[in-house]
Amino acid sequence: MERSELVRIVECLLFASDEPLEPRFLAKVAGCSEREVEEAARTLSALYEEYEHGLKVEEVAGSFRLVTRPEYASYVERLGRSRSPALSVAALETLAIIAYRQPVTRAEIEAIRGVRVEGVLGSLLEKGLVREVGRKDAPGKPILYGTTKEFLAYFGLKSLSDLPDLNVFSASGEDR
Amino acid sequence: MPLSLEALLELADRARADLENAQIGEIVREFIRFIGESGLVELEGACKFLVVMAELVLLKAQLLLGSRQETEENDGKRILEAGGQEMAHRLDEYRLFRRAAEFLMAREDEQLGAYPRPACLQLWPPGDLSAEDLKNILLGVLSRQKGMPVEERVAPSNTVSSRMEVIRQILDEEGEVAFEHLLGGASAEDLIIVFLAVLELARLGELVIVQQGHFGHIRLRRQVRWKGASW
Repeated sequence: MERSELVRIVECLLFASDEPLEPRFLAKVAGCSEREVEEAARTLSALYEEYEHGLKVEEVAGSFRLVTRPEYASYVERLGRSRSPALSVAALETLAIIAYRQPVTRAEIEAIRGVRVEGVLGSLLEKGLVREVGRKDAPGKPILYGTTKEFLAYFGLKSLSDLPDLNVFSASGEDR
Repeated sequence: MPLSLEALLELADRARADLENAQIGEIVREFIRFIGESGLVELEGACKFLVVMAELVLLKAQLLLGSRQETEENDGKRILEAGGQEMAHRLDEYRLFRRAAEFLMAREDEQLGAYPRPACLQLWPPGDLSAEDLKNILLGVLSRQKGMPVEERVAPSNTVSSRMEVIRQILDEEGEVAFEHLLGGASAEDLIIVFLAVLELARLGELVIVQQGHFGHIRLRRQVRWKGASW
């Protein structure tokens, strides 16, 4: 199969799907290797960038998806699409701590935020953005929390390594 | 205790740096001026400010009381240094995560404006499966669970087809309905029946199931067919 044809096939599959597709799945459907479909998806992404399309190929949590560009969100919203409610500041702060300090206990999160996080944590668990990843070997065996694949998808991250180094957020990091 | 607002963190930093000369009343006035100018009356931020101020008052009191006792004249400074260092460390750590949260907020804002294709069950029809097939599959799965009694308990008056008819009527009248609305007060048995009825109607192409974004509400819409369409 020609590479350009594979790019078109991947484009069709991403367009027809309403959820991110893993390279493994794309490869199975297209009848080629995962490496080939990954390359095809990235080529497609580059083409969309080059020709400044209204759509873009996003690589999130190890999968690919086709989405509209955020700068044109206001037009899409006129079609009746509405944004999901954004997370609260408390939820984002809690998520930031879990993302950077995982695996982390509730008490450790509370020590940083200075407030109880039971309710916020419950809400994040319910949304599937965090999960229990084990128990800390400490008195009381407190639950350890970590982020999920859904967390990566929600924030459009390929992996946790896409998060900036925490030092970037320090005063000295800002100066750099 | 950490503060939730950057401006309050700066106030606390300033007070911590020069606690001996810090005017607690002046800090309070600055905070009031701050919320007056920004119009911010966020409860969580205000609570955190009160906690920080209480800690500052404690440190200041310890400093002042310590300085009045000649034999312990250095205690106040030691307390100030220890308390100040701990507070500084906690504030710095909190500030890092506060900024990390702002990064996530920016990512979230961008992602919420990037729309994928809406979920639509029509793209993945369940083939030739009927509601009866689905029921039998479910019973098959349940029967493989050891120790779990399986029996058919669908009352004749509450069947998938009767529930399909109810949903059809609602969609004819309203055009669309929230999935939760159909489940209001439903028993576990009703829930399964409603679920199967919705799936069957989707398979028959009589409705479209729509969920807007992550964690969005599920809505059922009557399928509009174009004239002459064969699907």
